[in-house]
Amino acid sequence: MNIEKNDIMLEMKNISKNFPGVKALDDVTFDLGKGEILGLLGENGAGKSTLIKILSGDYSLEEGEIYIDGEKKIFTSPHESLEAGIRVIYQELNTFDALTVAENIFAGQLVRNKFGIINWNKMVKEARQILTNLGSDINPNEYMENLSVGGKQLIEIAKAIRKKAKILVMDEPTSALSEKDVLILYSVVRKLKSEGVSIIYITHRIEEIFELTDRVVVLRDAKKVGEVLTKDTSRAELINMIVGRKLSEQYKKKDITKGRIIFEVKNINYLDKVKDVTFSIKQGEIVAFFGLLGSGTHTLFSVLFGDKKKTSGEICVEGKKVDIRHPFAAKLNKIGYIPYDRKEEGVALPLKIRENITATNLENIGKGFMLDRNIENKHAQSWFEKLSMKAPGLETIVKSLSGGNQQKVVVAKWLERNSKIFLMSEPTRGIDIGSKAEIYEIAEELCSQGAAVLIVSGELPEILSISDRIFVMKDGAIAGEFITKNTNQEELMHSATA
Amino acid sequence: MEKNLPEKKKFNFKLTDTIILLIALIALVVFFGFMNKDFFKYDNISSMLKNMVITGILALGLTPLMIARGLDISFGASISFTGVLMAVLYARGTPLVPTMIIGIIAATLIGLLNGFLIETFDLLPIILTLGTMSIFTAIAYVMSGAHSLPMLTDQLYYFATKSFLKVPLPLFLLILFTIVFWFILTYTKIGRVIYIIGANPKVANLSGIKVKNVRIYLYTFMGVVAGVASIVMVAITGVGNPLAGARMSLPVLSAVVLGGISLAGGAGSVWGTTVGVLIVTVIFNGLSVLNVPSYYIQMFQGVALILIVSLYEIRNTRAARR
Repeated sequence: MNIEKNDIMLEMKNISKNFPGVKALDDVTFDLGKGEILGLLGENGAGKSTLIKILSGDYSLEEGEIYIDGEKKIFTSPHESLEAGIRVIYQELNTFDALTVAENIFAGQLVRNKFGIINWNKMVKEARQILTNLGSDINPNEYMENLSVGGKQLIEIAKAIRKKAKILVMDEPTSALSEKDVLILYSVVRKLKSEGVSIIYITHRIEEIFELTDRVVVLRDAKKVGEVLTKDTSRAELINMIVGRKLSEQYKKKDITKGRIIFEVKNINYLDKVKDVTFSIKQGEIVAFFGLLGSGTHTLFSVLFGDKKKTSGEICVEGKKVDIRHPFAAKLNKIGYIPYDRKEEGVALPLKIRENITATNLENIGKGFMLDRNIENKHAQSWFEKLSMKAPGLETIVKSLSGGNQQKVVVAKWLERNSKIFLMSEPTRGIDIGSKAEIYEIAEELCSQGAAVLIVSGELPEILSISDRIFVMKDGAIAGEFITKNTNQEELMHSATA
Repeated sequence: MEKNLPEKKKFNFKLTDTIILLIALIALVVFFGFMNKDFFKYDNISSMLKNMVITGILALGLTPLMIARGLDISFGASISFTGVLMAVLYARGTPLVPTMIIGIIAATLIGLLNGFLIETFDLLPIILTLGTMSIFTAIAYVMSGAHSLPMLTDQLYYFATKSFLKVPLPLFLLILFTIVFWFILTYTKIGRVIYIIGANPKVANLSGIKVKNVRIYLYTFMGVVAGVASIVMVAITGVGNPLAGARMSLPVLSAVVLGGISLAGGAGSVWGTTVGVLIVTVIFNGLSVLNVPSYYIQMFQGVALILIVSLYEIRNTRAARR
């Protein structure tokens, strides 16, 4: 856009990158001004991560040029990128939980005196200085594990800017943060900007674009499809650029007839994390559980699926009392689980799509001990098509799929098992808008076939558009029950925080 | 809607780990053959293959266990203990078949004990099996008075010394084991379960797979395998020796690691293990034929093990960067 040449911090020119069978980036060009916050938008698989990994030196540059402060750079390793003043904070935090805040900030380069002995006092003092500059009062001697996700994120930022950073890349920094931590993060980002740090801000939440950025670059299918000044654009225009097709912004929920009660939970307790939770759900219902961090929603789902053993209480499926002590028992009782941590708990990354889908149902694939590859292919192929997964084929390694497609694999696992009760923990976390809508459609499709869907989600707009009923949880207990069409964000938030 | 998948096989030649290992194996064979003509003599080859049987059986037993992220280093102690136990029973007049059955049961129980303790209390496999290793080695010493106890029977002697079509009989046992393990890991449900657990135990558990139970079975099965190996050991040596098993740890673990099984689990195959066993055996035998003293051979094996692990690690790091 109209930036003076000598105010440009970073230029990436005509960047292309090919992976076997896929064009990950196709002739992408953009620049980043000094002290500018540039929003980078795009669906999963659009090429954002690839672009960042080229900038960070994780991927080698094949075509195109990178200029930093007007100087041409070729990074052959992440180290050289760091040296050039580039810092990337990834979505998944890399903190050492058993160490202190100060040790984390100085990880790898502890402050030493001339004898090579660690100078603890100096290190703690410097850590405190950095944190104060960021407007935080976190104690440098605190252990990492005692910090909230937001606190950990702040430490990652502190670590990144400890040494003079020119360019800071933040990959979906708010995806796991509570509302309060999000506000703190915003102020930190603005402060860095005022100090002249250039920031590339990747997010799926369009509100954040308007909250923070000066300019937006949109990627779609490996190409740059749009670049606008934030003040000149609108939410609708951005969404349009991202998905490339008209999409009604709010998901319109279908009307699905409700059947008999399929799932009943009576006075479930788990240590002091889940307290006396009771509810029941009918076929065809989508019920959301909302709560702030630590409210027990995720723990509740782990308990219902048997991954954590309940301390007391009763669970009934289709009117029959069931004993769920292990996920295996949940599986036999037609309960399926889509975990919060997709990459670590949902899919086995090194395995193929086919192997992931059938992992829940090996008992039924072939007679006796034998695994029947024909049956397996047939089953996997049918889910592959029904969920319209975007991948070269069933033999594709799941690691190479985008988040949305990985999530479809997790859903397919439980469809393959013919589950009737779906526990979905943040099913659309870190997923692009297009795939989100697809996941909602799948949930409704399940319901119209007599299943029941339980969703834990921290995104109120999502909950309000997809669910029939909402339970708000606070401190492990249900704090309120709401009929979705009769409530609103303010009421829910009030109930969660009251 | 359902398309029948035409299984497209790609014939482009890939330098897989197993092929690299095969090339290394051939190179070693050529090298040792060149250095000493005796290497290729029937007697040497036949005794080399016979010696390979015990290493091979044990390495095969470890393969599924280690793919599923388990580990057992107590198999050597299990062999010593079982061997001594059988020799004692046999010396007191127990007939051969019951003796062998009791031996296998004893080894199986050691495997079960390992698996049960590791999985129930979430212990580190290497530590727990180190513990059982020293316990059963000690028991073997006490039972035998630290001596080799003779156990010579016509049947075992026949099995250990005779050949069929010039192939030593024990080798047939190894071939049978290889086929069975390959079949299990490739074509059965349990084989798939093992690979899923290896890829990500947490995901396996949350897919409703009873990870702990599966691992306990695998430890128990490793016990069975150690029992069989112990019988072969008694057959070949004619004694129940409290020291017999200790010598097996290094070659077996080297072979498995060489074959591409990572100590972190997840990867590995029967063919990799088989080639690993062959390489370890050829190195040992080749150096022996060249009259290298056995302590040096042992040193060489240790160095080779460290080299292999480092090479795999370097390659993995490179692959991750691509």
